[in-house]
Order: sequence, then structure tokens, then C-alpha cells
Amino acid sequence: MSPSDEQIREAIAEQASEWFMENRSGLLDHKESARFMAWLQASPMHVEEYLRIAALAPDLETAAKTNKTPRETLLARARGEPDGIFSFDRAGLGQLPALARRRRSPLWSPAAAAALALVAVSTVWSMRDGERFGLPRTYSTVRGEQRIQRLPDGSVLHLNTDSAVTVRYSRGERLVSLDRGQALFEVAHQDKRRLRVQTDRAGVVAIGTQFDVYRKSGTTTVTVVEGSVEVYRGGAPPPAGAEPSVRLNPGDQLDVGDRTGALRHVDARAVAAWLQRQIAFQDVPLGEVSAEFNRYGPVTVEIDDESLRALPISGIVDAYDTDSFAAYLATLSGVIVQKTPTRIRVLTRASLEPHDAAQ
Amino acid sequence: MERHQAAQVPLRMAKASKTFVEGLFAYRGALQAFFYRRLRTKVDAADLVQEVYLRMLRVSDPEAIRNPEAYLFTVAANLLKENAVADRRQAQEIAVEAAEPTPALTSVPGFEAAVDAGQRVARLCEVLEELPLRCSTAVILQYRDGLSHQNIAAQLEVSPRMVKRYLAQALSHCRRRMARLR
Repeated sequence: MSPSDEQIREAIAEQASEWFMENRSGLLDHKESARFMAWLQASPMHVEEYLRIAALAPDLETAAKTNKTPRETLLARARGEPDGIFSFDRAGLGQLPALARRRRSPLWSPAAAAALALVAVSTVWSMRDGERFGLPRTYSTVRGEQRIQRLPDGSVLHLNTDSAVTVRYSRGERLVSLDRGQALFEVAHQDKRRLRVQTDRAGVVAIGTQFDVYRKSGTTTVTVVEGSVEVYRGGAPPPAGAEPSVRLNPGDQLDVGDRTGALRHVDARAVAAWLQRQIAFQDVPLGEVSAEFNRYGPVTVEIDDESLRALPISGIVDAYDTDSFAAYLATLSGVIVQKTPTRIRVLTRASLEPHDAAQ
Repeated sequence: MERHQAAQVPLRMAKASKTFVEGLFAYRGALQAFFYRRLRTKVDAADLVQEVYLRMLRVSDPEAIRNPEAYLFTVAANLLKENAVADRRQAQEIAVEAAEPTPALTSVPGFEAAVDAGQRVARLCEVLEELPLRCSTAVILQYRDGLSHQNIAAQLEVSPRMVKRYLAQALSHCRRRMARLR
């Protein structure tokens, strides 16, 4: 089940609203401007929703002005209400400027804590189950779905498309096994128990940090956004004196498969771009980029030609906007794009020629 | 993705003055009228958006645009203007009854648009009532009482960031409810 068009549009409307408010509260700084521009350029739907929100705002202003309730009455009622935000189950979607904000203030500042209250809606339940009874809990998403889950200790789990985790809390440890897919963790450091994320290939030990774990077949990729983590190879913590673990700092990325790869430095924000339903890539072969697309949308992109698959491209695009991706591919010289409702086939003109000649 | 290698867009917003930005907001009325008018003929709105988008893509150096919002409205406003000209030209060739009034760029919306606006506002008043109280209160304090985010935050005993969040939430909720209306 993939999210309906309406859900996607609503998610975009939320992002547009947030950007609109950001713009209303003063001119954005250079970095934020660049991010906003990138967001606008990511999809025509972004442009449309932004324009529509901008068109709606004056009406909202007029409507607000017709309200006759005295300010004191409004405030007294509002203060009496426990929580002012809707259920955030569609989560992750309204979070767009969040990364930009985080760069300005430390993650666990009171303001950031307030932002985390956004996901508090589901906390009541998870607190009961996880904390009081210590039962393992599984959270999962289907293809095309993303969710934010606040864990019993206050950590926040962002689960990407087609992913699953099982969370077990014991006296000494918070253990999260990543059963499939990709997750980003914002670890609450008020809890002194260590938090460990385990896949078939690697384990990640963290204390008060933010990092991404992507479990692929045969390899697990760990990327640190903030703070630092220790990564070890294998399906369980190593005994003392075994292969030492590797320490990762912000921007560090490590692949762990049959052996531990070399540490490399990446743009951690690009890795976390999936939080905004975006796919970011820099000089990545087209074959890999289309594989990323195929993780999200209902349409499968197929590229048969090897030289085309190897073509490096760069950019940030909306994970669900396969059409724009296809339109872009069609602009490459010598490329032909064939579309059906479920498939997009990308061919080179050259690969068609012998076929034409045979006819 | 590689940006389309089209002509460099001459507009540079690096030193956009405040009055210039404010001036652009005047276009918003026209934009609004355009969208509401074109909701019946969805294709036109989609065409406009597509065209705005394509022109945004043509920016060869997105980093150079210091105020993307102002830029966006400039592009949209210019397209509306072109569109108005095209509409007028077209209107001469088709029957008078079928000719849609051109979206007024500089004048206030016509009577029909004003009636629509009255209905929209009445509907929005209802939608405001559906919001969590903190959201609707933030909206009213901002627009009706003209309070700053900081001030609203102090009154509601939350952070200014939360206030922004409430206001954004209110907007997207209204957008959703108004979209279902049509």
C-alpha cells in the first residue's frame, strides 16, 4: 500500500505551510534560502502548494478578524487545553525546516524538546507497553510509507519506507534491532542506558546522538548526523579483545558487510534527506538513483543499458515524483523513455537501432 | 539533478529591499483570484504552476537567489500578466458569454470574486473552529490582534517556534478543508 495522492498532497501542504511561516517571520538566511529554493525546485507540486497556501493566507486573515471573542477568553481556553497539535501519525512529513533549525540550536535544547512534543501523541501507548511491561515492540512501514515513533525513553525513531524495527528495553540497555530497511535515530540522553542498534551485519552503540542505519542485503551503512557512535561488525556485540569497534563522528559513514569498509566523509544532511521524502545524490550512477526511486513509488524505473546505468548524476528530488525523474531522463541526449502505469523503461537510442534495422 | 542549462534568468534578488518584497505581496490578491477562478478549469491552474515551475528550474545558480519567495512571486506575477494578455487576445475571438473575465492584476477583484470571497471567509470561520484551541488562538492573536510570535508565545506559555508550528498547522488544515470543498 502506497500513500494516496491525497496524503502526499497533504504532506506537501504541511511543508508549504511551514515554509510560508518561515518566510513570514523574516527573511531566511543564506542556507535556509538555498534549502527553500531546492524544495521549490524539487517538484511542481511544491510550487503549486506554496502558491495555494499563499493565496489562502489573506482569507484566513480576514476570517480571523471576524472573530469577536475577547483575547482573555481565548487565552484562558487555549491554556486549559493539554496539547495544541494534531495527531502526527502521518509524521515526518511536516518536518521540513527541522534540520535547518537544528543546525542553529543544539538538538536537545528546550525549544527542540518542545518540537519533539509533536510526536508525543503516540507516547502514552508506547510508554505503557515498553516501559511498564518491558515487552518487545515492533514498528514497521510498508513501501511508500514513513513514520516517526517516539520510543519509551524519549528517543525518536524515524522509519523510512519498507522498514521494520523491534525495540527491547532491559535494565542495562535499549536494544533496537533493525529487521529491514532504514531508520534514523535521535537518541535521548536523559536515559543513561546505552542504546544499541543491531542488524545482521553490524551493531551501533550510541549515547545522546543522531544517526542513520540502512540495512541492505549483505551490507549495513551507518551515517552519523550529530554526536558520535561506535560501530562493530557482526550480529552481536563482540567479546572483549575481539576486532575493535570503529568510532564515527558527524558526517562519517561506514559500510559493514563481510568486512568493515573504509570510513568516508559524506554530507549527512543528504543522507537524512529521506526525512523530507527527498532523495539526494551527488555523482551517483543512474542505476543506483533509480533503485532508490523504486523503494518509494508505485512505479518501477527500469534501465537496461549498462552505460546509462553507470552515468553519474547529482541532485535532490522528491522521492514520490517519479514523473519528474522520468521527464528529466528524457532530456538526456540519446535517451528514450517508455511509460506504462506501473513501469518506466529507460532505453538508449543506440540500443533500439539494431532492432529498427532488423525490421 | 543537473539544472536545465537554459538562459540565465536576469532577476537577482540578492539585494531585495523590504519594500520590493512587500510590493510583491500585492500580487498575492491577483494570484488568489486567479486560483479561485481557475478552480473550475483545473487545467489552467495546472498550466500556470507548470510554467512557474519550469522557470524556477531554469535558474542556473539557485544559490544566487537570496529570496526565493520573492523570486517565486515575481515569476508567478509575470506569468499572470502574460496570461492576462493572452486571455484578452483570445477573448476577442470567442463569444462574449463564453469569455471569462481576465484576472485583474492591479484592480480589486470583481463582484463575483467578492461574493466568492465572502463564502470562503464564512467557511474558513467554521474551519477555524475545528482547530485545536491553541492553533486557532495563535491565528486570531496574530491576524486580528496583530501580536508578534514572541508575544503570542508568551501569552500561550510556549516557545515562539511552537507558535510558528501552530500557525503552519492552521494553514495546512485550512488548505485541506478548503480543497475538499471544491
